[in-house]
Amino acid sequence: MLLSNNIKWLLLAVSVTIVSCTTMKPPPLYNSTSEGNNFIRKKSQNIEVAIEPFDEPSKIVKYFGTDLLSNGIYPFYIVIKNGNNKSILIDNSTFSLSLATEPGKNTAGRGGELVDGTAALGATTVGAILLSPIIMLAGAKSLSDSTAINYTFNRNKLHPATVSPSQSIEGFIYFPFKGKTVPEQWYLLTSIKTMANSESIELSFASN
Amino acid sequence: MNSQQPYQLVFLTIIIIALNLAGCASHRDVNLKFTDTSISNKNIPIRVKLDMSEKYKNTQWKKGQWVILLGTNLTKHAEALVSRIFKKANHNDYDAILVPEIISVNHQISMWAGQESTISVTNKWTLLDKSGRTIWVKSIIGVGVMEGGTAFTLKTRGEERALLAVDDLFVQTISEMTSSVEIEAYAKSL
Repeated sequence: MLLSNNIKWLLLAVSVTIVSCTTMKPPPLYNSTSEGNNFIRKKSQNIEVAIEPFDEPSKIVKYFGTDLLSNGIYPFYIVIKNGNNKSILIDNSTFSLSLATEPGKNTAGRGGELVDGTAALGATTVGAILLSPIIMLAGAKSLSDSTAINYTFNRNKLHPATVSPSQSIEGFIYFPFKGKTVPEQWYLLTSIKTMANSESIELSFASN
Repeated sequence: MNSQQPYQLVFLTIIIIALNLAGCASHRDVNLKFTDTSISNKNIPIRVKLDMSEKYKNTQWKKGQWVILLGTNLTKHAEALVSRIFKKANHNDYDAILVPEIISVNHQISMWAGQESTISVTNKWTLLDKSGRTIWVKSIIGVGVMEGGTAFTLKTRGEERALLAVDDLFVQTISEMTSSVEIEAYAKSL
């Protein structure tokens, strides 16, 4: 006999109970208070913005299941607390990032604008990612893993929203960049709109 | 050569095929049934017109040949939501426009039949006034969780999971809309 009857039945039982798709368990939700505090904070008109750049591959793998940096994605964790008496609007145009690809060439203080000098330094200004990350991660991970990664990526994302007075919002913004290693110098600009009069409140952050 | 060996090889082949088909393939499209248990009657005094794109109406999750058509269900839920929690609007007689947009649909199917599988639907809602000014924006993730299902129940479980996700999405949406200070303020300004 090629196989005993017992083994046949075992294989049959396995075949109908296995679903055979996702093998990767979704990573845990990031809890900013449990991982130390690397936030850079700024405040204007009672609106506080705190940002935490995610530049440690081990930490990124822990919370995203893959090294986003080696896939050309730089995640920033953002917390916005609205202490203003007006509602504010957070959307994909709220954040922009400038990166200096050459060490020692700091773009800080340039207001995130693509001035001539910045372009010469090889800096890029990019908006928040709008495309499905599964496209970018294809080839780096298996399809099943990509499903779990995509789920995590989306679940953690800072989605567009209005934030009422005394409310807060938090999540990740993902910035694409060219290359395999994250540039040392970055400059993040936020422009938050108030709902009542469309006034823009700008705050800027720079790497040390 | 043993005369039973060809049959055993056929048997093994069938098992291998079953292993590969169980989770990732199907040959039928599924059009979800409309269930509106999640929508209760509310009364926000704004005449709202719903502006759904064709993309929204045709939302689907697809993997291989398995397609779950979510668009019909989302459309019916959205129409029911607008008609029940807002005042009736006519074609050119309205106070605000509600624009739904699907950001993503993600379906994680577990490896084992008894494990939980999850489908999540992320819907961005934008409420605009007649001049196009944003009144309220919210992105809501509806989640449906249910056991993966065996090779025989996999697709049924997937459909039920999708229904749970859509219901969850609209339960949360109603809660967010009815508690929004921005929507309340706009209603008072009319």
